[in-house]
Amino acid sequence: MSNLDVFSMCVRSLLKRKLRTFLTILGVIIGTASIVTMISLGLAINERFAQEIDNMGDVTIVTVYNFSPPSENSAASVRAASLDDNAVTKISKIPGVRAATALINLNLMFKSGQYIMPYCTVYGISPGAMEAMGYAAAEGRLLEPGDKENVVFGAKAELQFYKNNDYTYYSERLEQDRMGESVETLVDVLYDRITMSYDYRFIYGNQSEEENPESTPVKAFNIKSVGILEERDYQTDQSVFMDITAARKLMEDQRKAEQSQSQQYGYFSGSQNAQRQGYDTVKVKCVDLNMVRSVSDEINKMGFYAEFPTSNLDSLQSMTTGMQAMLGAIGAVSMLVAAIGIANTMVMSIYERTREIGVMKVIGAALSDIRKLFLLEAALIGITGGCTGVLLSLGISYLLNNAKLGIFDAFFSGLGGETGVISLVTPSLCGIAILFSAVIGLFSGYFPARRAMRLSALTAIKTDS
Amino acid sequence: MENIIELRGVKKIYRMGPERIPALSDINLCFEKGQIYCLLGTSGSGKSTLLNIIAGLEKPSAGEIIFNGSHIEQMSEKQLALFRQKYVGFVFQSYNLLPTLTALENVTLPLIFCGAPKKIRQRRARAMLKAVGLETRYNHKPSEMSGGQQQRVSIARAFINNPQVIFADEPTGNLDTKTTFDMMDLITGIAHERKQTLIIVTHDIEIAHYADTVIHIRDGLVESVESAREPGPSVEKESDLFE
Repeated sequence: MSNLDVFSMCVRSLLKRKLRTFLTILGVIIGTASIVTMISLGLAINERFAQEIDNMGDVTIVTVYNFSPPSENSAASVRAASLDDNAVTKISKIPGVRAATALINLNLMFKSGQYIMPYCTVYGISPGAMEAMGYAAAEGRLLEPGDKENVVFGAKAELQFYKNNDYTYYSERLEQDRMGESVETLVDVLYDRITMSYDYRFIYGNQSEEENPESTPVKAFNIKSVGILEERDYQTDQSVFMDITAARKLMEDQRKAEQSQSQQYGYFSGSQNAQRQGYDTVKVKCVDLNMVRSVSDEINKMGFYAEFPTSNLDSLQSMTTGMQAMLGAIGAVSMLVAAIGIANTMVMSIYERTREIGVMKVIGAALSDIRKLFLLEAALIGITGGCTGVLLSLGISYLLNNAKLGIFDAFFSGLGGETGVISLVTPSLCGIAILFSAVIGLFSGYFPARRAMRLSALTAIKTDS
Repeated sequence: MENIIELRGVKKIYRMGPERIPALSDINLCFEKGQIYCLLGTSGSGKSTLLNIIAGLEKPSAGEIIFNGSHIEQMSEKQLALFRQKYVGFVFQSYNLLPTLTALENVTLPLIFCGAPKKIRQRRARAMLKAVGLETRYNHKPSEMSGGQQQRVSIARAFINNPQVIFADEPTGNLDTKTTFDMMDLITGIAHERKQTLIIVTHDIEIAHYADTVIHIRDGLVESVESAREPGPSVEKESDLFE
């Protein structure tokens, strides 16, 4: 018996009992639609999580701080270990760590021709670790070992230069940039001469110069920018990077200068850059997101405080996983009911068609033909219901996403943060749903089909119907 | 004449709870090729059981049924299906047409199970229906036809595969006298023309007149075998259906 014949016979017998076929298919439609809709809600939550994580910048970076991790037996770990070069080396050897670098930051002033940048965060970083930390140069290159006077600008850092007396234009440009418009660059950091200093007199001059002729001269450094970074998170985009050793020296200089000034003027500066053991922060790049937690646990054990962007997402994630499981279960129950519906229809159909089956067997239908007929009939119910159910759920998904159903919106956006999609039906979800409903159909049709196959031809013929 | 079917010591015993009811006891028969046989007996004589056993629809309790050299009683369900498909045609008292299918489709059904291509199927089925006088009823469903017409469809279905043996179980049981004779003329005519073996089960002595050999069955035993040697009413020579 050719497959085409099997198919046409199945369609015919399904069409003969239109109402019953329709009702059975309706069951599958509802089952599929509910399962797909439920899963689509879960997928949308995941999607919004992914977006959230995207907004966090590089989620595989753990930041280590130079103080003890908060813990219950805090007495034991009050004294933080020293976050020095040794510690950095030790951290970089933790499994799952790609690179670790100390990071110091200081605030410096820049000047280029008539343009100034009076406040900019400068990070000191080990030049070799830049690439491993995930920094990439959009123009020029990254820092390399030996780059003492060379710096690298963050993607947006150069926008902060402005003409001394034209602050309005500066804020206008930042606004334009924020709106995604192209912005005029006043300083070409790669080619223009740039000087930098920690001394405020560098920018603002010294109002008290006449009174203090013996005050120290303003110290400024010529620097050269060797590269501009690709866009990253906000903080990186606004900053300038330099060699950590050079940065430390600068920091030391600044401290000394402030000390001498404070002696001169008789006040003590509790400067942010007061000398300390080791570094404030160390950045640790992990191999992937899965390692982040174990790496940070390991660092915490060493007596430092490690923090990673996704830490507070974890509990939220586990909550939503539970919710997704619940949504899936609701869908699964309706699919189960649909499967029972198919099985019931097929059993009924066999009772009704006992005689027919007998006749077919007597006039030469092979056992496999009979089985095929019934299996395919069940599968057709499943597939038809599955396809229609998927279409229905696409419609429901569209409604959920577009008609702002206040209560749903409030409920679901609360879970995912920003308002985004409520229901996400992916092509693979559609495919799996249709496949699943076909399998459900086959499965529910299996036992009835076997029963039909095993009917004795003779008794079947003798059955009155 | 060569034997097409041979029965050796066939017994059938039904169990009904503790009771054992013998339906057939020790049947030994030979059926020759191209002959028309009638199993004649009253209701409960065991004639239908015998037919079912010969056709492989029922297993005998003991004995052998040899069809063209192969043992029917030893065949599996799968082999039996193939056997019926290839060598056997059935005509039933209650027609047993599939109600969802048209006359033409009902007749094609055995060919569908054989896996014959659609074109050949259609041609042969049309020719067959024409031969039984239903050329105007191709697309009628069984419910739209009279009993006689339905039986014609079922005869066409039995012959479509050009089987070696046709079994007819009370083929005219539901028909009036006039139609009965028409039907018997038709079925014996085709069988004769094609030199096919026809085995008819009936309780009607008038039907028995169509047979070459009448086998009287009583209480599960062959009472007598009488050769009529009187060929059935001749029918006009028909064009070969399978051209």
